[in-house]
Amino acid sequence: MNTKTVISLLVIISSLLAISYAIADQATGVIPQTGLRNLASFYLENTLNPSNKSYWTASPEATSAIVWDYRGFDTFFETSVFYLAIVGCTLVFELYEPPKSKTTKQTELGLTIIVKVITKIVGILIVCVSASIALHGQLTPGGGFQGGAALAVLPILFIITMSRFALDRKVNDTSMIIIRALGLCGIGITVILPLFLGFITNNNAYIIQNQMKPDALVSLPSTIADKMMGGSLWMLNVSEYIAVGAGFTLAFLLLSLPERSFKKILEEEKYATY
Amino acid sequence: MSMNPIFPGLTTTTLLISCFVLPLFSFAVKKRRKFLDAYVLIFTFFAELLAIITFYNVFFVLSEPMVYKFGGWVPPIGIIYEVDKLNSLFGLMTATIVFLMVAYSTMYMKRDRIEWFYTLLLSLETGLLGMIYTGDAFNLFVMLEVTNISMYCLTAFYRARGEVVDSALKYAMLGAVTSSFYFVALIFFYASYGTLNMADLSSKASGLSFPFTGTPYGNIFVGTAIAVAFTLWTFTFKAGLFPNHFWVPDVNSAAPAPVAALSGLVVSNGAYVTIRFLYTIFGGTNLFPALFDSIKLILIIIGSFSAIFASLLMLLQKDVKRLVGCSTIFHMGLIFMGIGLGTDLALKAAIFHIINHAVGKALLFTSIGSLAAYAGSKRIDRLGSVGRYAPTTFTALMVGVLVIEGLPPFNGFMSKFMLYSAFLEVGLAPVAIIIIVSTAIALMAWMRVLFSAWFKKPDQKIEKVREFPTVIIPVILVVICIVLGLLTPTIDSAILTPTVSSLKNVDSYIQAALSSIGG
Repeated sequence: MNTKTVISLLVIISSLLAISYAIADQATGVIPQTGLRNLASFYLENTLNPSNKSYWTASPEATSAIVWDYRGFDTFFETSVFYLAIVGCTLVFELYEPPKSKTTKQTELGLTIIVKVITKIVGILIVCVSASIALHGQLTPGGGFQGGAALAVLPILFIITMSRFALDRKVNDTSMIIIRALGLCGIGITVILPLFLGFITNNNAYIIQNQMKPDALVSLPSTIADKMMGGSLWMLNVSEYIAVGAGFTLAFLLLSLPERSFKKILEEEKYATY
Repeated sequence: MSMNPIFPGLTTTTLLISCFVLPLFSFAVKKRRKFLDAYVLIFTFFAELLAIITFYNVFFVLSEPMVYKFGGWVPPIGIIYEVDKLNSLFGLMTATIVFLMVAYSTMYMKRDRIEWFYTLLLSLETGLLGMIYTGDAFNLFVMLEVTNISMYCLTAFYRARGEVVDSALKYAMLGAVTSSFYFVALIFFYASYGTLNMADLSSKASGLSFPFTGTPYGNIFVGTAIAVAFTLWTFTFKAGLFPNHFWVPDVNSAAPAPVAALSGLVVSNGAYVTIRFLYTIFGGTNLFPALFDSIKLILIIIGSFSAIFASLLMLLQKDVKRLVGCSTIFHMGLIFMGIGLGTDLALKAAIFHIINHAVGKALLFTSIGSLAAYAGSKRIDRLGSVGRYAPTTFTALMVGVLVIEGLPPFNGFMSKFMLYSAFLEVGLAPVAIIIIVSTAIALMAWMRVLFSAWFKKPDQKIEKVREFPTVIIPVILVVICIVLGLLTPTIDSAILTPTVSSLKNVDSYIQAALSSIGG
């Protein structure tokens, strides 16, 4: 073992010991914990509290309410972290002329017809299940990101069974970039919608506000046709679903590029780094 | 309250939405390049205006920090932006430098894939301003991620070069690991204090209770020690302080010049967050004096070490952009020495030096970026008399060196002198000498660059150079440096002194958050 390894090991071990010591010394509270923390019980009591609507979110799902309403501003930017990761992926892997396959016949690409037919059947199920995860985000565990991630299984299956070229013919990078941007615009509009409502109705309103507050009397509709929609929660979930689904598809399209064609194009891109 | 506190909140929200929408326009518009140039300029200028309004109001209109409640949620239930004098000053600095660098990019960057470059510049500004304005420790983590991921991708912009991808990957891997350390710190903060709001943390650390969350849950002494240790690990990495400095020269060398200039703001944010944690969140506490005294002592020691070590490293560099990177480590060392000392004068010096370093670094990179492009190389020995072909840019580079190495009458001298006096004031003359010695070493390194760029015989024939219009930005930065240098006494009394006294007035920070809860 050289000195570098020894030092790294010492740093790792001492960090772990420090964390363990802190937890054993009850830095994180008495173990085992009894009862809820004040903030947790506040969220649980107020998320769906029709008798006191000054702190409610009109959603029975406390997790979704925390993610998109109480701490919605964080999630707005977390969405952008994923968006930027895909932008970075596009920046590094984008090719101006993606390679085309030599054959145009669908049957000559990918696996056997049995696998392809099964994939198509499963594909419909994937779309249904993922949409239901996203659309019921304000009622049951789930939400936009989870739904979008489930939807992203579809392009992967498609690439494996039918090949990248077949997927590229159906959904190219440009359309995915546009669909994703539209989904993100949906999120952006929902975030600033309360400001416009407040301006029209001459009320005070806050960025990313959902239900009315004592000092800001603007509310997004909490029910539609007697179904609980959680105000802004469903709009954000649906937009996030579209953005994440399209974002993952774009990433898979770029990452499944054959290395050879990528290298060829990069060699033409010779410019200095200053 | 005389003013709606929405402006800081609107800054980051607008910037992020503009960065979501940008790819749509890049497909829809015919004259793409011109449109996109105008687009980023408009949005960064808008952010600059909002930052100016925020700065003006916080300094000259309001008497206490400005609080904006996102979604109308009161702290600590939701997220707030809490803007006091310190972060409104840094917000103004960030918005100004980003706007100038975006303007420089519109003239300097000539390649394809510019829509992604601009998207990432907008998101980088979002992240930087969000880290500065936020009053919530977890929101700080989210904005840190936004900043980080934008920086990683921008570093990898020249993707066809092996060393660029290598530096970007190294930076991304290490950055991701150190950012997770802050996440570990947040777990400990939440577990022992039961809250993530900065004002709430501060009030609990002072032994007071806060509405909705009450009193701490665990043994806050051990919890605070672990959490602060991990927090400082993350943000000294961000600040490029020894021994977490190694990414700075790589990134500075690999990234396009405007991005390398913006990395000066990323390291400044590392220093800002350290000030926020040591002096706002744990500034009012007297529950654990030994802990924070030893942390500050460690900061002085590694700061001095950074300064000496980095200035020696500067002598070894062959690549002029790496040299600026090493100079950043050196200046961060000085800044952390000031933060560690923590007297009023030292904090004023540290804050002023953060600003001077960020402006100076932007000046250096805008002039070096142009000169390297004219010479066709960023190696010091290949710059061969390029200065004679581009005299204005070369003069800007010279001023940049004088600013960053601290020669009178420029601003860099003023802040270094303040730091020097701060150490003499408390009787730490040996530490004060470190400042002088490391500056002298760094100046030698810079002389090589200036000599090569003016006197050395060129290796290859340099084409006729058109300095205009890229030279506008270095010239503007030179003017800013001269103004900051000449007006130092005014800046000291009107801006720095109030900033430090508001920073040390932790009560008013807590009270502003409390009064936003209202009745």
